[in-house]
Amino acid sequence: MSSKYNTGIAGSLQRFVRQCTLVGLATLGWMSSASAQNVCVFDPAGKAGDYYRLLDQYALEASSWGVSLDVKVYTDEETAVKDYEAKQCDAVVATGVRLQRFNSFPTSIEAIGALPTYPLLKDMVKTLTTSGGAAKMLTKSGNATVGIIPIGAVYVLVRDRNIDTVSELAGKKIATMDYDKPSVVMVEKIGAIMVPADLGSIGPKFNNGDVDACYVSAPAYQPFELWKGLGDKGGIVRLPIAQATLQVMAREEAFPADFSAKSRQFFWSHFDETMGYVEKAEAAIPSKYWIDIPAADIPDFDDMFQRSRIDLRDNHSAYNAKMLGVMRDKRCKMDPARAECAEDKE
Amino acid sequence: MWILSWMLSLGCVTKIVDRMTVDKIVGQAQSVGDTQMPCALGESLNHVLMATQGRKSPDLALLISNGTAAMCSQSKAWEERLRAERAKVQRPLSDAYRVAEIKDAQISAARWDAMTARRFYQAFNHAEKAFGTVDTPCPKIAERDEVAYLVALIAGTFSVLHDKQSDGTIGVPLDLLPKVARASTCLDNEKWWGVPDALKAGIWATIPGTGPADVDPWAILEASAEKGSASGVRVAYAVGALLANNAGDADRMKRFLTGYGTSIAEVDRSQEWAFFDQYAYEVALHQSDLFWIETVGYRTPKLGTLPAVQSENLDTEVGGEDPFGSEDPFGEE
Repeated sequence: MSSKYNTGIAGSLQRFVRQCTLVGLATLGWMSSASAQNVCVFDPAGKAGDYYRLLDQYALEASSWGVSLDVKVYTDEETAVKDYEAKQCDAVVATGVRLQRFNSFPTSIEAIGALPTYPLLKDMVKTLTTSGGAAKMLTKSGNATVGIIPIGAVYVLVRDRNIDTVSELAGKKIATMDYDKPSVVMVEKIGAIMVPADLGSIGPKFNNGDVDACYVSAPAYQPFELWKGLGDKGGIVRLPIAQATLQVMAREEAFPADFSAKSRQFFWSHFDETMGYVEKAEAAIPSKYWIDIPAADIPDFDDMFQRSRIDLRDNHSAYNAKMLGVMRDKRCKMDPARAECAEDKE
Repeated sequence: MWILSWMLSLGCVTKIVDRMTVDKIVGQAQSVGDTQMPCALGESLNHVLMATQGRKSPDLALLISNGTAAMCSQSKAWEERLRAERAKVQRPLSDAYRVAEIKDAQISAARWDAMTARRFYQAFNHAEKAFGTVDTPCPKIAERDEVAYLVALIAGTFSVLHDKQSDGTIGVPLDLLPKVARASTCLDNEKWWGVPDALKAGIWATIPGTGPADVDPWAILEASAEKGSASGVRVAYAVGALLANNAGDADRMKRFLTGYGTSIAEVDRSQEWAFFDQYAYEVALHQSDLFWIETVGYRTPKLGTLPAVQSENLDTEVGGEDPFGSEDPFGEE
């Protein structure tokens, strides 16, 4: 019986079906055995956070590129970066400050006072996404920066709103993230006293009056209840001292060759959406707290910012010279009357 | 008719409505281990309660109706999120419809999240009208209203979490969480099954700097879970599982889930507070379902069990010679 059915059309059909089944099973086997790449995401709000959800969308998008991503949330940034270093993650999402030691080129986008407006930040992120020259510099020692997410301009919060000039900050205590080298240098430059702090202590130190000032971006205002430290006398200086970003860094060898470009394009296409989170957080801060610096005082800040940047570039290797130069060009294109545009220090 | 208008204007009716809701309806519902009936009641009664507003509003009643109505939309949000997670693991990457299926479920979940956040936030706002600011210093809370205050704390916490998941659609302020953490000290932790401490510690663990630097919030949460377990109302276990999962701490979440399972096996549900224990069960079950689906593709068969990790390929060499190899009783002759 069986030999009869194994010959002729029916037999061919049977063999074809068996072969297709084997191929199908082999494919399924490959899919189940092909391990997903781990992406370790720092989001202080955990899985409910905006950035975890963005990375969830990213993973979905990446699946259409044939890349399977397993997104793992971390509420502790240092642990996320350490796990990346230990190769437990194929990619990591952390602030530029934390990733500076891997490649100072992309993290220099956070340079002190380098991008004083959001349109300039957007222009810079676009340039980094589209420039072929930048693409080469975004990879260093096998670590590729494959996305930049804005998380808000960093502002100085003061308990006494009369402290609103560079000279008045001298001698004041400023809560400073000790792993953030640029801030440490800037605090020294203005002659203020550095009080070491971290994400968990910056709010209590400011609110309890242990420090005179701190610096954060707007999304920290509500959860840290910083209005307590601002009280009736304090204020927020509406002059960005830096642009904080989350950056996506991936181990180049773990991903296909075209992954980096697609990834950067994904985050660029979500730039406005992520800026929306920041704008919402800034809008939630009562207008009475904002301190607008008189135009006459701004050059003092600009000068202090520039001296800090140059010091960090030349003496601390914290900033990339090429990146500082491009950002200076963009500032001068925006406003050619800036004092720095008359000379070429960056 | 004029008598009703007069009573409304004096606020008599609202007081009666408040007392009827908290003393009678909640009094009955709390002993029934069913969340769907109170949720349906909350949805259907809310507008009727609003219609009794005169110069005053029945804020305690509206706190309860909004809080229970939120549980209806919450269960729908959970279901849609499970649908998204199932599509992620069950559909192969090459499936053209995979992304659409996942996105559709996520969008649907976010819509239900927004509604849930709005209802819980409404509940919290009514609590603030009824008790004053939900924060310290503690307001004077009558013993019979403590359960309503507890609902407000839970509602406040969930309003933030669901709003975040809906992309901040409702705009629930994030400083609500530290307020809830402080306000939780206004209730007796022993009396309320460790829930006040669990909420406080959970928020401390979620927002850095909100708690004392020298305290391990997770240790408090674990102690609270034990306390709740002993009383047969396991809300603290559910809070622990929920927040551990949110923080990405899978090992800790698994401990809360298995602990919950052990507690169910060892401690009978409190009959007096069966509703709260049932709600806690559903919160924990959702966390468990997410984990089961992510691991094996289907939801929890029994709360407290964990999906078995796929063993490595069996090495036939390890076992030595197959005793059935040559003499397979089922083999062909």
